[in-house]
Amino acid sequence: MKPKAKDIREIVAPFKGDRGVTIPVLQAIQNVYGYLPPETFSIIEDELGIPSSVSYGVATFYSQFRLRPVGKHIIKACDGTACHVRGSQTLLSSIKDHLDLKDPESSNDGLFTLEIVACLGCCSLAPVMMIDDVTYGNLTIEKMKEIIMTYRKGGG
Amino acid sequence: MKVIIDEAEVPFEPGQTILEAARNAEIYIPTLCAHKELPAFGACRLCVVKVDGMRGFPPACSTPATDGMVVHNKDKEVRDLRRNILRLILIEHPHSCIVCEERADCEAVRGGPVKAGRITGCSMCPNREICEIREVCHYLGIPDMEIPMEYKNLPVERYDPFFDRDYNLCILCGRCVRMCQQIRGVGAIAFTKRSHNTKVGTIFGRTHLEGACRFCGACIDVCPTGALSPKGSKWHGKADRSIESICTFCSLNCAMVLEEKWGRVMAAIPDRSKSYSRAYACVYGRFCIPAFLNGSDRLHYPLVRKKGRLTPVSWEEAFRFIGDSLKRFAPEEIGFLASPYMTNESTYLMNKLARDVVGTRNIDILSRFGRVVMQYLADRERASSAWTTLEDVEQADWIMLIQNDMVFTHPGIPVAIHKARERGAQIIILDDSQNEMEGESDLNLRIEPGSLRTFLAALTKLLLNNMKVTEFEEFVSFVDFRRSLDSLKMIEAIRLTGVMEKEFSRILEIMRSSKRGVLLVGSRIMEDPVPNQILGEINNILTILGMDRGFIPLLEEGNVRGVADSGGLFGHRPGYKRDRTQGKDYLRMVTGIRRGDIQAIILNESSVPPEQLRGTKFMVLSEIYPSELDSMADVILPVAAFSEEMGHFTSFDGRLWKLNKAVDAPGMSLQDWEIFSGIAKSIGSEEFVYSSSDDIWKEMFDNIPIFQEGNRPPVPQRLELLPVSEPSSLHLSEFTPYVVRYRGTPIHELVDDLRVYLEENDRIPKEDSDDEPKDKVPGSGEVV
Repeated sequence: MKPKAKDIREIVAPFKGDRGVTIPVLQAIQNVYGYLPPETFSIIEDELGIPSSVSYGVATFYSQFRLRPVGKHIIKACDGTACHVRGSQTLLSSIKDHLDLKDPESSNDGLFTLEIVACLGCCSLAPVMMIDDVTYGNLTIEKMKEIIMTYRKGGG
Repeated sequence: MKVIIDEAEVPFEPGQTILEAARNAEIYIPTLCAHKELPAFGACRLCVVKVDGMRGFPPACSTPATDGMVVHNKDKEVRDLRRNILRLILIEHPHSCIVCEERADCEAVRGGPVKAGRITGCSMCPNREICEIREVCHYLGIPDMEIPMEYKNLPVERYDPFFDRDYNLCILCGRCVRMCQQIRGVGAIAFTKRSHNTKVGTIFGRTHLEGACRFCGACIDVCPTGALSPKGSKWHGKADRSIESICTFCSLNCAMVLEEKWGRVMAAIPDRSKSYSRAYACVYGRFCIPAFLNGSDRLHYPLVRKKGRLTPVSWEEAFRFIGDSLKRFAPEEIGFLASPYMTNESTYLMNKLARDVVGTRNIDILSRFGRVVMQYLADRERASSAWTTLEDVEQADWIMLIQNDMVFTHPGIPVAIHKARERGAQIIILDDSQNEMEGESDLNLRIEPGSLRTFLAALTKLLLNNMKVTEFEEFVSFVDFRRSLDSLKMIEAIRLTGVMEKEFSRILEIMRSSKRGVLLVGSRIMEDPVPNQILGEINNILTILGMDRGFIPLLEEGNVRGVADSGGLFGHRPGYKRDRTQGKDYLRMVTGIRRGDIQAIILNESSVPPEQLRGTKFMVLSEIYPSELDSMADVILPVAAFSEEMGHFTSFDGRLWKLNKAVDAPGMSLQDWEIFSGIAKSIGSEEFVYSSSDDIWKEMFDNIPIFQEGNRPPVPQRLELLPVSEPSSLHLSEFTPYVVRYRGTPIHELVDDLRVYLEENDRIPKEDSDDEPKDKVPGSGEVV
């Protein structure tokens, strides 16, 4: 959904007049768009009087908030201790290469968003990644590419 | 109640922290993030102490003191812990200036900071000898650094006006963030990102210019490191002398420390020992004073027009020429225009010269808003009273902002408003255009342009609705007032203002809720062709609400109030003794010039538009910079600026402030009072025997009660109700918004960074390109 300033204003409006609403209002906006569109902060400033730098500071502090649109599938690649010793760093960089991710964590085709997580709770399968709700373990680079291919084809 | 710190009994007030108690007793506890002007934060952990009966090491800055608490501040364990914390802080702070073995020799040889744009290895940072990290290191013992430094390698941010930011030096103490968000109420900066990537910054890393920053510089003043540094004064090193004086760019008169080096004012820093200036100092005083005063165009010699050309002459010759010339005119043909930036002493002598020596009553202040307000108040015997102060604003229950641009004309006042709002005050904005304070308002009334008086009339009628009017029956013009209200057509009035009825009821509710309200009235009421009507209707409202105080006109120029107090105002001698004989006020002088009734003008600033003075036969102009009036002047006299003179100023609320001379005036410049003395002597007066401004002050102090501290009369009871005006949509006078200036010269004409800031905020027109000739018009577009 393409964000419109008017729509964001409507989401923000009910929070008017209350104090301590920065996090709830950011959550409300992210619930609709999956991320915080750039105009979010100036709208919050206009409507609620919270300076844009302050709400931006909050949004960049909590990992729950995103400043970029999220892909259709979320890849959670584990870099916890077990995965780390089993080569998750190599795996991670090849995921990035494969999806052509540079600094932004989402692929250009809008299909994937990469998140690095600390543990997925199945260390015996290390290295592990999760795509949406499905966990894939004992990964190799080849295996990772195959899995991603199935999502590209619309599977998964 | 007492707390025991290292065996010393230290008294404290309930609610104070251990640190506050210790500071009161002058016990040093090292801190980097705590600051007496800021709320406690607990970030740096350097103030950890051991407290008997408490687990671990609580931070003194955020642990409340309790009666009988035993605190260990100098314990070895505490000291070791602090030293380790300091090590961790130093890992991310370039510290070669602190831990280097050669440090002592290096400092002895090198007098000041090295002009390195960026501090990485062996060079000192721009924080001129006031590094708090060094102080803490000194106290704790300089730690040996076993862990190598982690340089963050962030680009130095140099693209904003006024100050640079090198966040490689930042230790994330959060003082600047707290100052900006919580004290100044601006919120231009915040902590962004988290953990190792945390950085003080703006939204998406934008420039401060694009963001909300008002460039007050308070962040620099509390920064314990050299991360933030003023561009204009960072490389001068230590000042030769520091002189306590004031900033005179607006009527707040914040106390400043002027730093003198090489015979010039190199920096002006808000005097943090005085709560007033600490709180309110702004971009103009913090950053603009040196660049403005040290311009290369400052006048150096008296100039007299000889055969059409301005020629440098000695003072004797200039005075003789003025004296001879003035003798050609009758007293009532001579007019005096007083700069609202001259000292009370100088004004007193200008008054004496004009009224007693020359014998004219044609004298008035060169301030389009100040003149109208002071005349209105002086005519009602309210001008000499002690007015509502900024402390009253901070304590107010509601504040109404009427037609002002205080963010740019009085940037200190929003700080007081923020403080009031934090306390729960309701802020109402009444404006016909966008107001920068909207983010701090609870009720924002955007009225139709030209409907202000209609709005005030409607509000008056609504306020009186549930009240017995009988109590006002004795008041001046009550019958006319009553009649005007009875015939006021409310439906039409409300429609004209564009304000909704429910907004009217909200404003009534707020205003009736408390008498501790303040109305801050800005110069844009001058858009009304009869500003006295607006002032009168505001007076009605205060009268009906039963408020003696609460009216603050936002006087613009530095000493409007003092000049009016000291005899510069038309019709009023020093101390507001009325003139008995007739004369001309400013506007009548201007028409007098056109008609030929006024032949000679003596003025001491260049704020008058030239067309208003065209036709004078003889003109004496004292100024600090050349202006477009020069082509008309017969004599141009170089005058000392506020850093170059002694004397007193009176801030808008009636407080007296002392100017102290920091540097010599350029060339042959004299102070205003010396010039007036010279002119008086040249026309044969022997009364001007003053050898210093102190002599004049003594005479004023002895004879005029309002110049004695705390001797201003209380605000008299209001006994007047002005008939309200008919609902009307006025054709507004042409009005250029005020830009801050000094003696007629807008500050931004000499301070490029200020120009950039004001242009970005649409306060002044943008300059299109460098090729076009600069249109340097110091005139203010006076309303006639």
